[in-house]
Amino acid sequence: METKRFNRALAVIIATGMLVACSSGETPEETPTELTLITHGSFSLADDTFDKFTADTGITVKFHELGSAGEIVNAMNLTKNNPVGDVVWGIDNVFAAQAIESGIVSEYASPLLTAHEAPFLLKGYETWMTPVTSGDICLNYDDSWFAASDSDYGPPTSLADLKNPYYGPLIAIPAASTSSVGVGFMLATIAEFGEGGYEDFWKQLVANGATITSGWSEAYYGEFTAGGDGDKPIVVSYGSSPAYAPTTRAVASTCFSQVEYAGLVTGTKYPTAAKQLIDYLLSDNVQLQIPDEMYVFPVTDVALPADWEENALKPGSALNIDAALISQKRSEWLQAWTEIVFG
Amino acid sequence: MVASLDRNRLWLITGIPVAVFVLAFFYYPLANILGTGFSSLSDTGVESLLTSRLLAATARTIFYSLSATVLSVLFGMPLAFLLYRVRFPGQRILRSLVLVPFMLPTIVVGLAFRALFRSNGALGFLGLHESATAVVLALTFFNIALIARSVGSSWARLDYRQEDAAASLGATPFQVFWSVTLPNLRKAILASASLVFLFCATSFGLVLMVGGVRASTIETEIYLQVFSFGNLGAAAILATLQLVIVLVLLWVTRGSGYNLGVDAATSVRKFTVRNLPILFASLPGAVLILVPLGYLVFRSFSYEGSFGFGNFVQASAEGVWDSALASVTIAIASSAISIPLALFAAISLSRRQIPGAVGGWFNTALLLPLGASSVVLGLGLLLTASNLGIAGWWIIVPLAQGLVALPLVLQTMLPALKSIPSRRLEAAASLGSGPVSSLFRIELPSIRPVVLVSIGFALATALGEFGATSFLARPGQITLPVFIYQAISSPKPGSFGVALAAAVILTVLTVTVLVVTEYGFRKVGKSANVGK
Repeated sequence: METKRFNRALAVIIATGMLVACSSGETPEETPTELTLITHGSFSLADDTFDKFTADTGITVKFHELGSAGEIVNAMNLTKNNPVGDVVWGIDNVFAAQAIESGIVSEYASPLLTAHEAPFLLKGYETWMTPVTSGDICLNYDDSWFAASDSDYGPPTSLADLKNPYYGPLIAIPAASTSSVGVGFMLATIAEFGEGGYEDFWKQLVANGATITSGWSEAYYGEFTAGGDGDKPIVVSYGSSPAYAPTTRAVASTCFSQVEYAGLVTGTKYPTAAKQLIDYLLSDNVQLQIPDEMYVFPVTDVALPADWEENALKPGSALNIDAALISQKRSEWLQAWTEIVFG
Repeated sequence: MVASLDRNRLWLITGIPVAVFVLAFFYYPLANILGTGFSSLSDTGVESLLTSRLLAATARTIFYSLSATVLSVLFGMPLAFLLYRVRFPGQRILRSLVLVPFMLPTIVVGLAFRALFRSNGALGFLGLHESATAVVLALTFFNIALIARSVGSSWARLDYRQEDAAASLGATPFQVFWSVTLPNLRKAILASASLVFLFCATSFGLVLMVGGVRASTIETEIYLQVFSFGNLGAAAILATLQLVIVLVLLWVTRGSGYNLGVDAATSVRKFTVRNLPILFASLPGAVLILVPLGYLVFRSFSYEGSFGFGNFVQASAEGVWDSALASVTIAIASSAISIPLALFAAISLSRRQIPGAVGGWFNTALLLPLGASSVVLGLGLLLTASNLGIAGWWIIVPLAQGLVALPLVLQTMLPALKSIPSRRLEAAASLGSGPVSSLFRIELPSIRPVVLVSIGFALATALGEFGATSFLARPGQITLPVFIYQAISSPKPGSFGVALAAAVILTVLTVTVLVVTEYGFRKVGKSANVGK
């Protein structure tokens, strides 16, 4: 009986779904009652964050999580004809050019952006997406470990230092094949050593016995001396990580800039309302929460929490690669990286 | 009216809803995504596959899965005996406890195994860090419960008389087990071992975390092709390869005739000194389950260098209880989908009127969802749901979870339903009982313990689910596994401890839900019997 009722419900679901899908022809734009924000897995904001937006516009905000930045872009590409949301949050500079070139986001940079946010705009595509968070992927080390060590070597001060066999057994790195932090670090080595030199760097690192983990959590909480039970005093993490682990430092010269963008989803039925939502993402209601909720920096000039002011490495003069070049070469670089590291 | 129902068509009537369900939620989305993949296939896409890495990944997939399956059977069988073939106080809690590994998020289990085997870890002296052995042990940890519970529930229903007769004729306990018990359990063991193999063959996160990032399998190669290289075509080829391996396995282990001399109402004997050797034999399995769990519990109580409830307090502040509620709600909704469907499927497949070939293919078709790449299936469900404009609907996630649980629940129920002696049904028929009334009066009541076991599997699958539905909208709230993933991915101070505390809460919650349902259903069943 239960199953019968269930199947009837199922039939209704499918039928309604088809009706919804078929009836969505071209009609003049109306104000929607709700908008869907596509997000990544680390997206987190207080429950009442969008209350003011709802009060101002009458629109409720719903969320649809699609995994990491890379997963978002691939999943959105797949659902291009029937997008599952109106605005996307969290495509970073590694994937932004690909998202633009494949047409899954439409051109819109919020008019609320000021000179302060200018450094975060996507080079070559400045008018296409709106920066919402900023941060760096950097080498972190445990200062107390090196202070207690009787070795001649201190903590590394550059990426080139890591070629020294001494550091090999001391470092944990998230893999570029499965981790967005890992991709950022691979790009840092390409920015530093060039396309001709980064392969040798990685061969050396692997030969020296560096630990490569599948994700950031395994590296930081599993392997890092200051993160959990680990025995590696060097780890690839965020520039903001020292805000939470005062005995650690981030090495400024090793940082790769990671900016996350909000984009207008191509094919949304409500572009006007979606643009309003993108503008709202730059408001203090959202930006003030970013450090404590998502552990990256805001893009606007809102005040930072005290421990961030004190210990976190502010994003700025980090290593960078042109977004269009990343989009063009990323897969090729990763292929080479995979062959070196996986053997 | 029901009694006049044509006996020959009952298998069809019960089978059709199930077929519609798997067609709509598995085969159609799968065909959709594979079709998209193959149509985007380019020469370079194929070339990028033809590496020695792929061959190694295929070999590794088969090796890991086979080893873990054999080990799960070896470790799980003594536990099956202890938990179901004898009686002792506290047994029901232990039965629920063995299911815990099955629903723990892989990231937590992965971290626990890494921490144990790392050179400075508690088991570092074994030298198993990032080894194939470590992966096989971790996969076994996940799957012992499957063997223990589903073989156990069949074992509980075996008639003691055959074994007693053999023993009285002078057979040693081992001879009795080997030549009487084992043949009777063969089908149940094969059925659950196939499931273990399927789970292992599509395991993704655990392999990478425990085996190291170089330990690639077909499933990890699929992920790499889709998300790192944006090569959906190559992923479609790999996913097809995976399905072929799975189909070959299912064909090899497919069942022949099945006829146990079983009487449903066997009462299970008490644990005695004679069972001590089995208690010892079950130790390796118990140790493998308890050590990582013990580590998790221990770590969850260490907070800022001392022992206490700090992690739990912080987890409460971050909304772990809301997540717990969301998890339970969704788990119940998805079980309400998978249990009736599995029961329908089991009824259909156990009718003697079902043509042999149809039954064989139908059964395989219902198992296949477990052997499909969860990355590919997840994308397929997303693609299909977005085409239908229903991607954000609440019911989608319970439906997808129900799909994942269906094969598991079905394979637990089916052997029991098939093993009801035909003479009982014939006797009922000769007394004028129609197929429907003997189904409700004889068959279903006699498999009640097995249904309880299946409800456990259905709930545990849903409570721990994180894979195939990861691209579908999560309804309203964050479930516990999602909460754990978010906490563990966050650099916030203490968030690692919060994740461990949430994992322990998930464990306690699961055991509670399982004990309550098992106990509750048993009571309902008893009072219903009294009513007759």
